[in-house]
Parts: sequence; structure tokens; C-alpha cells
Amino acid sequence: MESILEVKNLCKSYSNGSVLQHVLKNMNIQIYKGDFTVIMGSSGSGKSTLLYALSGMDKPTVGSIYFKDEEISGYNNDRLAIFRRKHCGFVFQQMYLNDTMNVLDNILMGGLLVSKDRKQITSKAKELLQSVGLDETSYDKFPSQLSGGEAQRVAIVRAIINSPEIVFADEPTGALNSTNAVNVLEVLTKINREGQSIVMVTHDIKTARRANRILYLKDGVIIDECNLGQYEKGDEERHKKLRRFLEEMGW
Amino acid sequence: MKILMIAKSNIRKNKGISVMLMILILIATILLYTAVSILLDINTFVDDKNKELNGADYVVGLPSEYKDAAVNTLKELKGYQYSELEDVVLTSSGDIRNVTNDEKKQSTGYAILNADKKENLSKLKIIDKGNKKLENSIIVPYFLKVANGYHTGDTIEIGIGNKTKNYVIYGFAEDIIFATPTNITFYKCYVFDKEFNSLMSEQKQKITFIKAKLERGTKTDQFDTTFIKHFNAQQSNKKADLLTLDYATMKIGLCLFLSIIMAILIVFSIIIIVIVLTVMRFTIVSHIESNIKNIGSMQAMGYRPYQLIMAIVLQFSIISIFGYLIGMIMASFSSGIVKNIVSSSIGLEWKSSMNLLAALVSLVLILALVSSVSYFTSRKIKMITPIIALRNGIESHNFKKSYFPLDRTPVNYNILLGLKSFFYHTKQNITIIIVVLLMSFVCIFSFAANYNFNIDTTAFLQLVGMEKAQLSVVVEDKDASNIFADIKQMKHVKKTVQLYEKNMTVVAKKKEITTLFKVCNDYNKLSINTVIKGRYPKHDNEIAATNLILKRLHAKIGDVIHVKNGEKAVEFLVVGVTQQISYLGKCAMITEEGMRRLDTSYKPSQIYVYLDSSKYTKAVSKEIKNHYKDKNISIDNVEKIIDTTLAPMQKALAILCLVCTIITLSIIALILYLFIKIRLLKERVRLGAAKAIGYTTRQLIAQVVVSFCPTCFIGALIGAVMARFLINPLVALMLSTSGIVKCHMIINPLLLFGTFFGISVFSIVITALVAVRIRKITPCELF
Repeated sequence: MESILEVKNLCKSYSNGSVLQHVLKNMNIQIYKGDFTVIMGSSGSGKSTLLYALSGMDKPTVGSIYFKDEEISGYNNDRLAIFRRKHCGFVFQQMYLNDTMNVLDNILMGGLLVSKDRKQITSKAKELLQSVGLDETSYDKFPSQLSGGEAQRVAIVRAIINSPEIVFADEPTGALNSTNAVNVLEVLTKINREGQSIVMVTHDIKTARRANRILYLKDGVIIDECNLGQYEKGDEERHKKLRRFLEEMGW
Repeated sequence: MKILMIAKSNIRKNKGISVMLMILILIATILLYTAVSILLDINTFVDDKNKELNGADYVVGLPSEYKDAAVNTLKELKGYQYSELEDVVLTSSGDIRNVTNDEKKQSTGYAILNADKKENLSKLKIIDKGNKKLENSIIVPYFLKVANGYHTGDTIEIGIGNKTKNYVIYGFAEDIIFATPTNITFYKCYVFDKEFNSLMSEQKQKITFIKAKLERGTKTDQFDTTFIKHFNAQQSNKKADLLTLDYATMKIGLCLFLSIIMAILIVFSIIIIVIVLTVMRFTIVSHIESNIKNIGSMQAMGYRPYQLIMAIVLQFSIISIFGYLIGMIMASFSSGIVKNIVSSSIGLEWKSSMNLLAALVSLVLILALVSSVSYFTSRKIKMITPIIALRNGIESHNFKKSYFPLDRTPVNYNILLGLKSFFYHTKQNITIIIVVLLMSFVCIFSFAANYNFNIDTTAFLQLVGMEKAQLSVVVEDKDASNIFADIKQMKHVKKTVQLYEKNMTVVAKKKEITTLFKVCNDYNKLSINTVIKGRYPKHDNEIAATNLILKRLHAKIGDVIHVKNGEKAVEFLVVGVTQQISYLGKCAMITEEGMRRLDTSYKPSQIYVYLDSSKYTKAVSKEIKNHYKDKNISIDNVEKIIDTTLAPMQKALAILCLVCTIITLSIIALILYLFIKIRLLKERVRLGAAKAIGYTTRQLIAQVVVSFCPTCFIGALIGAVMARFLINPLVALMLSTSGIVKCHMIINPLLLFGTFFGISVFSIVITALVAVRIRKITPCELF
């Protein structure tokens, strides 16, 4: 399998006054192209910190992060921003859509960072919106006029508008009701099937079972991982396997 | 107590805005208190100073042979108490230069008196007295110390007639009537016995000053009218040139300019208070919107809306009181600077003390405005019920229109995102626009005032009514007409105008007003046009008078008024309305033929000489002097006299201009800093998200700059347009008591554009600098 992200000897520490807190400890992992990777773990285990580091939002204290053989851990903030716009997409729990802009503008705000062709990127945004179940009546709506699920789907389109190599999602269903959560997961599953690599942090087992690879974090170390294979709806064996894995991990 | 607790908590939550409002109130307090206290104190101060020096109420300067007749006339008049006579070396044309300071020459007249003669009236009180009295010691006006930086011991060069003498300053003296060259272009100096006698012996004509003390309550300007009338009537055959100066007129003249400056400061402080109120209003509205759930929960706990409103009123009242108190302390610390400005404007040693009335006026004005605006703005709380607040809050953002859609607007997306942000912050934009437009107006006003007083003085001369030529030549000779004709033919002389001034009386409907008359052979040749309606007189029966005179006489263009010269009264038809501040706005103009109807023996004795260029002034002046060595001729450099007259105002205006510019830029910087800081704080998450999806810090700074700049551009532009159309009417309004109706201050388009451009660039720089804080925002904060 082709690796798109590789982490070598990653350590991340924060100093809180005189106390130095080691959040990630000598971590080595690889993220593979086309995988739907989920990072799980208890609160404070370092899931979010790992996601920051992997996505180039934060720099490691020690260690290296390679994106397709290119070391990004030494980049300055501006280079990291350019790296993110070209290669990464982000879906947040709180969506963080710009409430002063309509749906289309929210997506184009990300799209125009990479594409110079306004027409092409607009039509791509519209296609993607259609593909996540949002028709043209939603284009001119403002975030305050959307349901949570609709808003999260817009956020997903914003994340994938530049065809990133990898999408990072942080608890994307955390703020949604169960119906909306399922809709959002369907979209993520769909894009993953189309070849999109996804790295997602979640607490929720129903969300996690959409992934084909589960990484379990404890006290800043990946203690184990579980490979579930391709997600199929109603695959009870897969679900049991995940449940067993999590029970073993002390979930 | 509960209300106080909420108020204190609100202040803590809004530290930045609270500090900024306090700074603005502090500045407003300093300006308001200083200006009001000076306006309240100035009259008493001048009167007290006159009392301290036992200053004369009325001064007549005349050839010594008329002194007895003049004293006799004075004695006959009602209100006269007693007088003193003093010989004086009087010259209307001379120059002065501080050699020690390597100063440029100033043209001025002199009244040199004997310092050894002990006088009771207008006593000599020496300030900064030197240690050693020399033969060539001189005591000069206090004005020269404060306005021109002269010091005791400095060597000065004085040109009187054809001679130039060096003197050493022994000290400085104050005198109300001769306080500054703005009122009368004479420096009253003192030399000691030996030097005085030497100077007197060189005088062709001996001059005496009669200094009179009048009874309390006597109107000195009316006394002047009566004296001139009686004295001229008694001297029917002979003519004596009188220089009469009365206390009331000189005092008004002395205080006028300072009053204008103080009025400007009051306007400026009110503008700052308006800014405070605008920012405060914005803060209260934002506070209610962002704390609506807190407000709801407090109401649910049992707080009444009235208590919450009172907490907001108290919050801003506390800020105002603190700002006021610190402002008052700083005002007392800055009394040295104020003393210097006032002293250099009025030529008297200003002694400031705490003025309780001014302090009270400032406090009441600030508190009343702050508390009423905070009360009326926070009344919105009354509409909020706990349920509305806790559920949804009042919907304050209702985004329905998408400005500059990114898919259809072919402009760089960073600019579009900045512009979108600009359109969605209407309330903030309005606040910034109001602040910037007011500050831009103030800035242009101060620059325009400075330009018109310091660079192109035409508009000022129009207001004052001074003519601008290179030379003024006075010829006391039968042959004056031929001399004038010769001067007209001299090389580099472009044109000459015969212009003469004389006090006479205008009469209409039983009202009499002593008026300064200008008599000219061709008004169209004058370089300064003071006519605001109608035209200058052309025929012998025509007159143009100031608006003030016509108003007092209830006369208008087309009416007939009488002019009295002594006992002779002649009818004149009003053909024009003029305006000028000099002689307190009581001026009129007639032709030379018209003057001959009042005085058949009238012969022109003064001309203004206009040269091809000011660089020939010295040469032409020298040529006239050499050519008419034997004649009684005095030549003045008019441009230098204007410079000397304007000097006190120029300095004060330059300081005012500097203060206004500094305050303007500080306020704009402060407002932008605060509003950008608030916006960055509110939009921290949005900016973090933008960074996460790949926006660089530079792109986000650029977007903030684009979103703030239109407000600054619009504010600066409206301010510049307002300045273009409102400055002249505003100045006319300020001078309306002196009969000024129209003002023609030059508001240079370059100044308007420069201020607009300057403020815009300054705003961009400040915005960019403050927006650098975006660097600290990281996308990690989103998780």
C-alpha cells in the first residue's frame, strides 16, 4: 500500500508553566492512500494533538512528518498553510462555516485558494453539493438557514473542493443528531469509496466502524491498531470485531 | 451595590474599550476645561492686570504743541478722572532684530518712553530684570519674550528712521494697550534717561502721550468718539494727527484671537465627546447582543431590566469620572504649556489658577451626555425577556444578501473576502466612519487655519481688512501728489493706490457710530477685496460699509446715511457691504472725491506701492528714501508689518495645528486598534478555520486591511468634503460678533486630498500593524 503520510519518532510536549507535559511520545505511524483511518482513544490520550501534527497545523517537538517523502515538519507557518490548501481538507465538529457567506461562497472560499479558474471551480462546487444531496436551492442559503447535517455536508464539500490527498475530520458527527450523523457518515464513506483518504478522530463506535483502519491511542502512544476492511452496510461481523478490539483496549 | 458589581464586571470585561473611552474623555476634559477656564478668566485677568499696572483707560498720542488743548478737552468730558503726560519717541516705521538669536528683521512701529520717569499711570513693572543697567539698556514688550523667545541680556538691533542702534535687553514690560502687535503695530519700549534724551533730540516732531484714567463704568470707545469730535471741533483751522487708543477696544482686540482659538478647542473637545458617545453606543449595542444570554439569566435570577440599564449607565459614568479626574490632573500639569500659548497670544504674563466653574461645566457636560446616551441606548434591554434571551436572543444578524458573490465577481478573492467582511459590519463601520470623518474635518480645519495664517494670508487679510502691498509711503508735504506720481513711474513699480484712513462718524436714524473710514482713489486696484455684497464706491456720494455698521444703523444697500467729519455732515448712498474685523468691524469706505465733500482741504498723504516682486522691496524703498531725502517721508514694508501683526496668531495656530494632528492620528489609531482587536477576538474561530483550510497570515491580514480601509476612506472623504463646504461658514459663524458674514479661507484641494490620502495611508498602516495579531491565531484552537 502506498503511504501518503509517515510519522517518525514524533514527540509533542507542551509546557504549562514549569510543568512539561508530554502528549505524544515517540510515535511512528504511516497513513496509507485510500484508507479511512480512525483515531480513537480516551480523553487526553493525544488524539487531537496527533491530528494537528499530521495535518500540518502544529509542529512536532521532536521527530519528522513526511508527506509523500517530503518532510513537512520543518515548514514555517505560511508554507504549512500552502501545504494544507493543496493537499489537505478539514471537517470540524462545529463546521466553522463563515456565517456571513452563503453556501456557495463558503465552498469557493476554499476552492479559490487553489484554482484560478472561477467557472470550473464553481461548477465543481455545485457538482459536489449535488453529490452530497444539496440541490441548487441551498446555494444561496446562509449557514444559519441550514440544518446541522446540511451545514456539515457543506463543510465536507469545502474540505474536498480542492481534491486533497487527505481529509482530516475531527468528530464530524459530534454536534449532530443521529439522522444527520448518518447522512454525514454516508457522504464520508462515499468519498472514501471514490478513493479519498480520510483520517478521522471520533469517540463514537458507530462512526468508527465506517473506517477500515482503527488506531488506538493511550497516553500519547498508539498501543494497537485494528484493520476492519472495507465498510459494508449491515456487516455485523465487522462491528463485533471492532467492539472486541475496543474492549481489549479498555474502551 | 449589586448594580455597582455588575458595572465593575462590565468594565473588566471590556477593558480595552474602557481604557480607550477614558483616554478620549481625558483628552476632551483637558481641552474643554482649558478652553472654558481661559474664556471665563480672560476678561477678569486683563482687567486685573490693568488694575495692577494702573493702566490708562485712554491714550492720546499727538504732537506736543497740542497737548494742553487736548488735556483741556479731556477735562471737559464726562467720565474723565485724571491724566498724565509723557514724552515719547514715536515712529510708525522701523524694524527690530534679535542679534543674539540671529533673528530675521521685523517691521514695526515704536513708542519709546523714558524708564527713569516715574509714572503712576501705566506703571513700568519690569519682568526678568537684568543685573546690570547699561547705557544702551532697553526694556521691550513681554510679548517678545513669550512669542519670539527674547531673553534678558540679548542684543537687539532697532532701526529708527535711517539709523540702526544696538541695545541690550534689560527686562520686559507688560501693557494692555500695547500688549501685542496684533492690535497696534507699535512696540512700547523703555530706555533710560540719557539714551531717551538723545533719541528725543533727534526727533523732528515732538510727540506726547496723554494717558487718561476714566471714571469706573465709562465706556471708553464712546469716550474716544466724543473726545475726537470735541477736539477736532476746537481745532477747526489746524489739523493735528491723533493716535487714540481706548482700553475697551484694545481689550476686545487682545482677547478676540484667543477667544477664537478657545472656541476651536471647545468645538474640538465636543467632537471628541461625540466620538466617545458614538463608540459608547456601539459598545453598549455589541454588549447587549453578545451577552444576551447572560442578560436573560440575570433577569431569570430576578434582576429587573432597570437595574441592568442602570449598571450600564453607572459603568460609563465611572469611566467618565475617572477620565475626567485624570484629565483635570493632567490639565493642571499642562498649565505651563497653556500659560505659554496664552501669554504669547495676548502678550501678558498669564497666571492660571483652578477655575471651579470651568471644572464643573466640563464635568456636568461630559457626565450628562455620557449618562443620557448610555441610558437611551441600553433601554433596548427592556425589550428582552428571559425566555427570548435564553432561547435565541434578539436576531441581530440577518444575512440575506450575499455581497460580491465569489463565483460571479471577477476580482481577487482576498479583496472580495475583505469587502464581504466590510459589508457585514455596518454598525462598526458607521462608528468608524463618524470618528474618521470628524477627525479628518478637525485635521483639515487646523491645517487650513494654519495655511491661511502662515502661508497664504489673503483670506485673513480680507477678514482683518488689511491691504497687501510691498510698501506704504506717507508723505507730509504740499508736494505729495507729485511725489506719488514720481513713485508710480519708478522701475519695478507695478501700480500704486492712494489709501488713507481716518476716524469719522456715520449717522442714520439718530444713531452715531465712530467709524474707521478708508479713502481710496481706486478701489478696483486694491489687492484685498472686502466687499461681500454690492460694490466699492465709485462716485463722490457713494459709501460701502461693514455689515456690522449697516446692521446697527438698520441700513441697507440703496439707503442714505450721513457721515460727519467734525461738525460737517454729508449724505452718502450705500452701494456695498464689506466685512472686516479691524476696528471691531466698524469700518466704511468712500472715494477721495467723497472725502473732499467732508473736508475740502483733503489731500492724499499715503500710497500703497505694489512691485513686480517682493525682492525689489528693499531697493525701491532705498531709492525713494534717497530721492526724497529732504522731504518728510516715512516708508513701511507692508509685508513685514503683516508678518509682525500675524506673528502671535501664527505661533498659536501652528501649535493648534500640531496638537490637532497628533490628537487626530492618535484617536484614529486608538479607534482602529480597538475595533480591529475586538473583531479579531470575535472572529478568532473564523480566522482559525481560514488558516486551517490554507489561508496564510498575510492573506488574512490583507483581508482585514481591505475590510477596514473603505470605512477609513469613506470617513476621510466625507470629512474632506465637509471641510471643503463647512469650514468657511463655521469661521464666519465664530467671527459673526465682529460682523463677519462670509469667510474666504483658502482650502487648498491639495490639502483636502493630502489629508484624505494621509489619513487613508495612516489607517492602512495602523490596520495592517494591528492585524499582525492574526499571526498568533492558530487553527489548533478549533479542536
